[in-house]
Amino acid sequence: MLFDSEISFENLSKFADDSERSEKVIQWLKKGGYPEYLTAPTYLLWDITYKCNLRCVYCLNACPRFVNELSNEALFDIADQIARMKVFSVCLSGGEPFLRWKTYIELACYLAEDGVRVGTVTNGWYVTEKHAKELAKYIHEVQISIDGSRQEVHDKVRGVPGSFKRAVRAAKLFKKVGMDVDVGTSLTRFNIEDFPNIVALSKELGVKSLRTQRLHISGRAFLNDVKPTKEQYRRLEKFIENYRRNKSKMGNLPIMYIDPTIDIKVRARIGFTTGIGITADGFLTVCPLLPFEMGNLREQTLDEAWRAGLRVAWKHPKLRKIALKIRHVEDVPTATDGHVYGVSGLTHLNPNEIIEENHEH
Amino acid sequence: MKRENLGIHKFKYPKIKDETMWRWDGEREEHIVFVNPKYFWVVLNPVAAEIFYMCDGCHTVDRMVDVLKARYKDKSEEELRRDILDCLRELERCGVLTDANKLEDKIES
Repeated sequence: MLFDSEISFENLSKFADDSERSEKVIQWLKKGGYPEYLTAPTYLLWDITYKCNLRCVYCLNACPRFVNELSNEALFDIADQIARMKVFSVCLSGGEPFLRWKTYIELACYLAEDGVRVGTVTNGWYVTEKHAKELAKYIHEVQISIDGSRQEVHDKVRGVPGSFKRAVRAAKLFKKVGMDVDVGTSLTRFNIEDFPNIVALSKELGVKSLRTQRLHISGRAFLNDVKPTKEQYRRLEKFIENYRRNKSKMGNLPIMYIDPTIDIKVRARIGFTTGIGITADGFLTVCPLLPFEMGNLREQTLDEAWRAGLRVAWKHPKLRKIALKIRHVEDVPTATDGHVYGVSGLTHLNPNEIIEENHEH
Repeated sequence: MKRENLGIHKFKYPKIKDETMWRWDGEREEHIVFVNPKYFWVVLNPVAAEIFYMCDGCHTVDRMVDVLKARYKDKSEEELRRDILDCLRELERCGVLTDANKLEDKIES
């Protein structure tokens, strides 16, 4: 068969938990249906600052953090490179990205006018109607973080009183100006039991989807005791299963409960890079869950870093060894020898150490 | 019986929607990567990429078969037609395919 419908990444992700199907897809990949590498990333998660007005108990980036952030000039230079390389989409994040509002909105405009799809993640604190209208011009999709259905829960998890009211107000303002809004919920032992109420609140707000996943133990989540218990996860997963089964009765809000390690599992097997991250201080990361970098945009362009090895970073023996051990999100900090994102800095991966033979094509 | 089973796709002139984000990709630029609005993104192998590229609103399925027949001489017409229809179904399922014929009708009316 010349065309095989199982070549799509969509299917690959869908079956990644099913070892038999996953293996079938990997076997197919070995036949050479995929390129050795892509000419550019498909997606960029770009943290433009690690400044933050909130103190979330689980913050994966341990924000606020004060690093030597890239200058405005550098940000726009990188935006040019992104457009030139035909990267499809960029998510502007942080920290709280609106703390660099003026730069942020100009950057969003700059990227959007160059045909790049721009999304963003915000805690909503600084959103006014004027901001929402500006954002609606350039931002394709906005995700607002809501970690509780009421202020006692949300504010406790987010560490600052008043943050619930601001988040809900922002979601309403985004809807008012016609934007697609997603709610993102980070699950901790303090708010996981409230999840059914967050679903109800999200429906009330009329958002497009509700996204959540098992907590990745990184940054402040590594330092604090916030991880939900096994029993709490079991109850949550039962609720989501029941919700999906009875979706027509319970309303049609999609709940995206995703295994955050799927990307790691698949990319470690296929060897090439798809999405990457840019940290506020310019490091290029291959995965938001793993504390590795392969270059810095202060020293080279995105295209140079990509060609030097970032495009096949998953063939690096150190990354590959760790990535192949990961089965669940709980494995990540131990699998990376105690190096934790946002806490202990990033480990450099030397692109010259990439071994071309050890991938599975 | 469905039209697809007869070897006819329901779109007379399949066309990739204008808003679809895509690019040629891979070391020899013979693959296509496109954004799947329903989920994420998709990598097409070289043959699927050729079919994708022919979804320009000018090629019918018959025309696509003729083009591929000239290139893949060892493949039968049935095999090529089946692959093209599979590919079109997949593209439609992703939400990136439309019918240029219908678009023209709309413009005329």
